[in-house]
Amino acid sequence: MASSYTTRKRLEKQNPGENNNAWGGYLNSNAIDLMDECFGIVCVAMTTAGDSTLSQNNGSTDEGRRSQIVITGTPTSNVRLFVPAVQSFYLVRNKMAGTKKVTLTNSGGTNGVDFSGSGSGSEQGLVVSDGTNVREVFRTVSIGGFSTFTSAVWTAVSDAATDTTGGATQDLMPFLDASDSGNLNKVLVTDFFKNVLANVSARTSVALADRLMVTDTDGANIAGIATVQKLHDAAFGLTAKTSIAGADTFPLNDTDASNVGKKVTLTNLKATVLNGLYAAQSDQETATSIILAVSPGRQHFHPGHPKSFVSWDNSGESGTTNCTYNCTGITDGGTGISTATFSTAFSSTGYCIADHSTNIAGAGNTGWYSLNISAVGDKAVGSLKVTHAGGNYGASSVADADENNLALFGDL
Amino acid sequence: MLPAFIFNNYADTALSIFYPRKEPVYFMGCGGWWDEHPNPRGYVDTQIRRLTKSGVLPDAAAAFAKAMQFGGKTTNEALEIIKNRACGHVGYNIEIVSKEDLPHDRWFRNAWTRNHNGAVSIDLEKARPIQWERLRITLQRENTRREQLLFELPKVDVPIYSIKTYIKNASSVDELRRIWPEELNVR
Repeated sequence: MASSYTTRKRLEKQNPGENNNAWGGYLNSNAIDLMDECFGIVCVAMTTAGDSTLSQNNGSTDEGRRSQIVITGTPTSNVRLFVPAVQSFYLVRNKMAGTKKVTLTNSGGTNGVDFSGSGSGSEQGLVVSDGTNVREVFRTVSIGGFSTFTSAVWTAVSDAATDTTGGATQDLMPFLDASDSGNLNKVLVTDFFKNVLANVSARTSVALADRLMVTDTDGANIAGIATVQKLHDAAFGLTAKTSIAGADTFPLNDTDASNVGKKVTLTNLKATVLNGLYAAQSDQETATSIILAVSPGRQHFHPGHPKSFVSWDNSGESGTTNCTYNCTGITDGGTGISTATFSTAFSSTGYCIADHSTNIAGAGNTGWYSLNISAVGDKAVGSLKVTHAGGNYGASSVADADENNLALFGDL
Repeated sequence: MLPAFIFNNYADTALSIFYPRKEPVYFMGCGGWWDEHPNPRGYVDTQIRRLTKSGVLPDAAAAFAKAMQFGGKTTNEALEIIKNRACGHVGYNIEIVSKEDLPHDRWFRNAWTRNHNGAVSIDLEKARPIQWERLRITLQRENTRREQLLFELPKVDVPIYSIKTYIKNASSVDELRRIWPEELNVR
């Protein structure tokens, strides 16, 4: 009875009793050597256009048995590399020139894994084949320190590209522990990543187009590509705007490094700019600037602006106020006696009083009226008590006026 | 229409009435009276200090300044705060009254008084000297005016003693008010 072969790696299984006195040679060359070949490298040069297939041979050396694949060439269109339709895994590095992709797949399979050429990042990674489809375990691009690391690895791999027999120990550099060769092929994927990331060199400057390695808890994003620009946009939630609202935020960048990345709203930005153009309270009180603009909320701080005014009527119906400014209310203290209470108190009692009172059609008194402050304390920072005396021809007395007007100037 | 506050003033013999304005009541609702100030919170403290120094009771000054800047007060709460700030340190027996309940005729203003149920009425005994003083001053002015004319007019001659007697014996405010010589037609 003839020998049979294993499903995945096509190793010869001699029939019991076969090859009497010669079975050891068959075992060594058609099984053990080929098992060693499984860890070897195959270098595939893709043609300018067209697909390639890894060779498969039962019991003898072939390409599809090897677990490391280096792909070279300069195809002018995207190409496919067919691996055997059996369960296996492959460590792949795409060294193709140009920007075209190579898809690692099974002949007849529906799923494959794309690897970009050097023009798009020289992708490399680990794929598995379930016999029908080829799927990605991880895939990454060559950047920074990772590039240096992998360069050393793949230089050794390249050196072995002509090693058609495979099986050389140095071909397994990606998994070699220099201190203990017993760790060959025992490197976990996570450990592999840790080693890779530990060798990423620090950058002294970052450009917006620089790429970053991205990993998160969603496996779909592992080895995804993010640029500094994208990260920046994501951090600040920036999207293209067709209009600007006051609450929109902007990243702030200035010569003070501590401010880099801070947000400023359009409102704050506007206020910051305008604050330098408009008079503050102190500018109004100084009253010397001839270039600052005055806003409504600052106008009344000017020395020439009344800080309070009130017009009221004491002769007719009680409590009739015509107009007021900075006045909490008027106290009617009796005939001719009134007290104005201020909403904002003056800084001192040194404020100036301008008044006018008159009797238009009142009873008993006609003509002019005069205002008097009759007692110390009547002129206070929070109120002003006045007494009106009126009359004609040298005879005056405390009396109500039809119309009382007060305007006060000073410092609030 | 906002009510008024009626109270007895420490300094004046007449009844005092405070008429609040709408503006502070509005700001005590929404706040922001000193928003245009560079340092509103600090200015609130400044205002409290100024008011207290000028005699306003400390609690009333603080409540007023804080309410003007920070708001949150109902109309009744605002009126209470304004009452304490404007009247609390100058008077006593402070009560809220409707303006419509106050006399419209101010002829005897200094004779206004509060009766036992709080309503404002006119004290007849206080009104008598007021009536006499008004009559006397008007008579004096009228006679001075006539004397100073280029073509002098005779002075008004009224029976002073009789008028004083009438004033002293008037039995009501209305009767007192009617005591006025016809010659003094300017009333």
